[in-house]
Amino acid sequence: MEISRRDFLRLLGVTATGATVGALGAGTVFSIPEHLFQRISDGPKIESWKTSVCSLCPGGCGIRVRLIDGIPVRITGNPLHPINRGAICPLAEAGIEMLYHPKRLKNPLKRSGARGENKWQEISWEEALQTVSERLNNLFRNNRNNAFHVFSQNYNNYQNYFLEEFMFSFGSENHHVENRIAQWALPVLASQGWNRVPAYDLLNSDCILNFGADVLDTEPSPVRYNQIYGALRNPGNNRRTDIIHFGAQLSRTAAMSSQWIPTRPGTMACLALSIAYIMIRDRSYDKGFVRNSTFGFKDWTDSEGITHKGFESLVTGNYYPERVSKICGVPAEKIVKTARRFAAAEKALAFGGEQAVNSPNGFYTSWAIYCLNALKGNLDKPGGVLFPSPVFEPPVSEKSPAYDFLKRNNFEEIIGNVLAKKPEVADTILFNRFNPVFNMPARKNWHQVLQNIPFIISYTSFIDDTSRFADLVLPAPFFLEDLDLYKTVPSIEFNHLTVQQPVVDPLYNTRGLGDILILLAKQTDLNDFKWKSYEQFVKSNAESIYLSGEGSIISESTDRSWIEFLKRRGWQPFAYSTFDEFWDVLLEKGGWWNPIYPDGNTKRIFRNKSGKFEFFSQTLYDYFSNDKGRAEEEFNLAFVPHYDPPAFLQENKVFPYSLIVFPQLSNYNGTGSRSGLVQELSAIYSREFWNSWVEIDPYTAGEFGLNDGDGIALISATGRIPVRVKIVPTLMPGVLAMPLGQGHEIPGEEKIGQNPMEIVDKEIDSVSGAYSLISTRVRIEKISSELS
Amino acid sequence: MCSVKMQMKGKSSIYRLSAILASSIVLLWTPLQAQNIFMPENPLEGRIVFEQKGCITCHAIKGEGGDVGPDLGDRKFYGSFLELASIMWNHLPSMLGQMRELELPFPEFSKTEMVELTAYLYYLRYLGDPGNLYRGKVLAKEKKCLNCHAIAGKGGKIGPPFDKLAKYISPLYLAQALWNHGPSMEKKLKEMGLERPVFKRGEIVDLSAYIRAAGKGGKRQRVYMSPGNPQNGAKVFREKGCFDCHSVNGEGADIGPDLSEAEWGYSITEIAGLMWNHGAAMASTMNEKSIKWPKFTGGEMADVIAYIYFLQFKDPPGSAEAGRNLFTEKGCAQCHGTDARGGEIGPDLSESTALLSAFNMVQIMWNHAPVMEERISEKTLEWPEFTGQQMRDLYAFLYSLQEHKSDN
Repeated sequence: MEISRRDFLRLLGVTATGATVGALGAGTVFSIPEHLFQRISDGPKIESWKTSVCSLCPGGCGIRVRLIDGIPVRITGNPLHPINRGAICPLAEAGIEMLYHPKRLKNPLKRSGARGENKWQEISWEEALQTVSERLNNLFRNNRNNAFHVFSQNYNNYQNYFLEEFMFSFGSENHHVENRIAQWALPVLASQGWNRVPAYDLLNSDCILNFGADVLDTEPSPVRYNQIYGALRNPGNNRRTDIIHFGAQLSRTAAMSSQWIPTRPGTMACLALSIAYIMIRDRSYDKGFVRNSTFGFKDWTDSEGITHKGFESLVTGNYYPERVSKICGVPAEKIVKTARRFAAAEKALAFGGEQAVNSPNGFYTSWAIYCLNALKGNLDKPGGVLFPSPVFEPPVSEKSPAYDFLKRNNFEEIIGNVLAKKPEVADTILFNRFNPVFNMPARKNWHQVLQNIPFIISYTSFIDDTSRFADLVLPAPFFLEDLDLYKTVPSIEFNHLTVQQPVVDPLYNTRGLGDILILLAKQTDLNDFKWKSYEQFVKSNAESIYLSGEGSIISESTDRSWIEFLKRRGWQPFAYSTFDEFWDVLLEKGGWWNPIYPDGNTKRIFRNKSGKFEFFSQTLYDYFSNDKGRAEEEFNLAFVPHYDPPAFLQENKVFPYSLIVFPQLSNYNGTGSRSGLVQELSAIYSREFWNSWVEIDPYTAGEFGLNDGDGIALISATGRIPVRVKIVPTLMPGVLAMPLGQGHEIPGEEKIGQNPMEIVDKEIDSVSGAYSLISTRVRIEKISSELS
Repeated sequence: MCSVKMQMKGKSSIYRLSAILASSIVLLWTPLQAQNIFMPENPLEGRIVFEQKGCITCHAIKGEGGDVGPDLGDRKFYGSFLELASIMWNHLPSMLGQMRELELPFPEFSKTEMVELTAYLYYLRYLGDPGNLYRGKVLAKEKKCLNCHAIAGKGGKIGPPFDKLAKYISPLYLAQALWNHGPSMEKKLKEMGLERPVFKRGEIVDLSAYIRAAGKGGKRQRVYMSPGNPQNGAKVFREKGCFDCHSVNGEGADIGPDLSEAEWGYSITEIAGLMWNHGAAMASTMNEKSIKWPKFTGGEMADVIAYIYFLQFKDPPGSAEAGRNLFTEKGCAQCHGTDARGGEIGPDLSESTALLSAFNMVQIMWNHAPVMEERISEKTLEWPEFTGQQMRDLYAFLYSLQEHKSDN
């Protein structure tokens, strides 16, 4: 039977008309290599399925890929996978579309035009790697090892560990791993010395305070959290969990909560501490836990005889609801009522996310929120904050600065050095599937930064906003063509490991990063880099799990209680006589998990000097003890949770409105912008398809005489963008909200929508180094042109 | 008297592509022709059915699961397949009522699912209970284990230190180690004038828990094991020469007891304890007959014990005559006709696939329960309850219809 292009597209779940969307200006969407047509035309049309993991966001969803004659035609959720239990989001569905995207990179590229022009010459892998190894050898010979930087996104995959080992062997400390949820880990590090994101047992909680964490649309794992919220809000849930959401915008997460309490951006620390105030004043906190298991609650005297105010004094002296109400915009009675509901719940927890903690005072905000859990005494308890044992990470994770929450993320310092033209700081940069020019504030700054770097390498599957500035582009396989392991998604209460198995041979002349590094290590004589292949590295890590005997490969009968039942008796649900057998089943099922929560003394969760929960962080004090000036000046406040009024909240007549940017499930951080499916879905409620919009409250819109779809220019101190208006009653007056993900700028490609990062001010949290996404002030100008 | 022939074939793989496809997969159990005994490869697979069919919604296993029905982990031993089936059948009226109240769908089973579920429930008792390390500590002293073996640097040096066993989470490793070095230990004990230790019920489990907790080096590595593959156990049983002394269903020697006739309602480690306890007598008989002491490696002992445990899953034959009487007494005849050849409501059972095996009969009976409940409620009849023996008789009667048919 002859199979036409149209037939094949139908197999992929689209119509032929869906294959091109020229009318919308996006050009061809599918480009299927000729040899695949040949195979599907001549093949026996045999269906098969392979498991893998979606790596289009860090959510870690297990997937099953449907193949016809070995050709991927559809992605569905892996029903056995404990993260997503068979569900996936539209972005994962779009994975097939992106696999066959015409803009996929097919060969290594060498820059042939000016930087950023997007003009290339195809070269061989030999030439590409020779170019890289020459540069690395040159740095190595001149003892400039640290002038080689790598920037990686962090999707919880093992490839970053491998890269870290390579960097150790090379002698560079400059592997910078982006981590957008460092703020989830930092308060735990400060109070407990626990250097990981804890888990929140939402499913067993009676009352949840969510401070601006849009978990249904973005990190840590949106599909997982959608399922959790779905279960909690199900009328059949007898627990009747109260989910109270604080934020300036009625996001999808807020809408799925029991209650949305509009809260001014940047003020959540104040609000959390006011809830603490009520609990302390009512004496409704867990007095036993606070007395026996905390440090710094009461005023205390140090070894030099200096008395320090404790958390209790600081809170009761500053955060009474009437005062806080004026700051955060939440009525005082609502603060009191919420605090009492939280205190009265048998099992309650509080957590915060980007709208609260990605702010200039983000660390102290996240810490203030986290302290509510200590007051509730819910640490290491069902329905509270859980601390699964760290599991099977390569040894490199323990010593690497890339995995130190206090050192990571400080991209600003690096950028500053580069801008100051210190060539000894950065000579060669490798962007490992990382697109800071698009994803980070002040992108014009990045343009300048990149112009100042002598040599830029980009490892990517598509030319993006950053790789267009590269001197050399190494084409990366798409995740469906690449082998990797994915570790436990942060904030999830059980340990798990998912195999990203290549479900199809690479369509183009791409190479896995691991194998590139092995070749580079050979060419640069890194003798202590021991690996022969990336597969060997992956399997050796999987083997450590096999040898441990812990947990179980996911299967139809690996309910947590059942595994626990068997393990407590010494039984393995399934027996494997060899690692190879274990590996085969692991690939077949798609992952491994250990749902058994560690037994033992709660003391294991306190890894700090006092062995207690510290309201005054001795861990931080020790960390910053070299920074004498800082320690002396801010001694009493720097080491306790508190509210610093951020500068952006001051009255600003030039830029009277606050701009917040928000993520969307279907497009994550712009990963899915190339997909027609994502473009069609992302504006499902704004109706601004293949475009951007800014949300504005009716009162402000009225002031400017704006209607839905009108054009405005959003102007900040950093820049100006034209965008259409969507009037929504679900936004605090004075706040504008714009989705992330659109506005990629690549010469020769049509720009779709606008990137809010164009105008987001470059403000960071001084402790974590994380960028603020809620502190930009803007003004509005009505425009009649500029928008099609 | 009819013979019970259950045709099952061995599973080609432990892992099925998907439980959803279960009903379309041929039931794959291995027929052990010589003995007419049929063994599952992994009885734990029934857990999938237990979860996916929603049994877990109402029933817990040791506290984990629903609390509408009884906790199935609390029951000591359910008996043979048809005894278990009779319990399931008899609970149907109350189950149907509860399910209506909770608006839950009635779980129908394919034959594979029915076999897997019942094998799983049968197996629960076998899995035993976790050990008590405090009791284990006392036992180590009482049984004088530390006279010969050291733990964490304390104890004797005659035998290997217990620390070597600390990484093994399953108590069966200890039982297997004990068994394997039984003859040499026996000799040493005699030399030292010590009595051979005897283990009651859960004592091996407690001792193992103590070794795990107190032994050095067990904290980092943990080794679990499979609770046993009855199919493989049948092979090992033969290979190790167990038939030289024991018989199963009449096959084998009669030096030891026929294992298919013994009561095996114990956990795996209890059975291992019983094996150990009769080891002394067994060793002396084997010496006399110059039979080599069988040693086990890997999971062999677990497999053999699982095999022995499953011997009683098979039911003894029932009485077709008693079954015929029951058919009338219990009211089956009212729908299916006095000779089961079809009545006003029910079909001709002599034509039914229910006759192919006891598993088929139970599966079909179960699946027709909601309709049957409706019919008997219309006729104001009582739900017919059966004992295990009555189930056997009923099956013998239904099977005889098939035999008579082929006679004709």
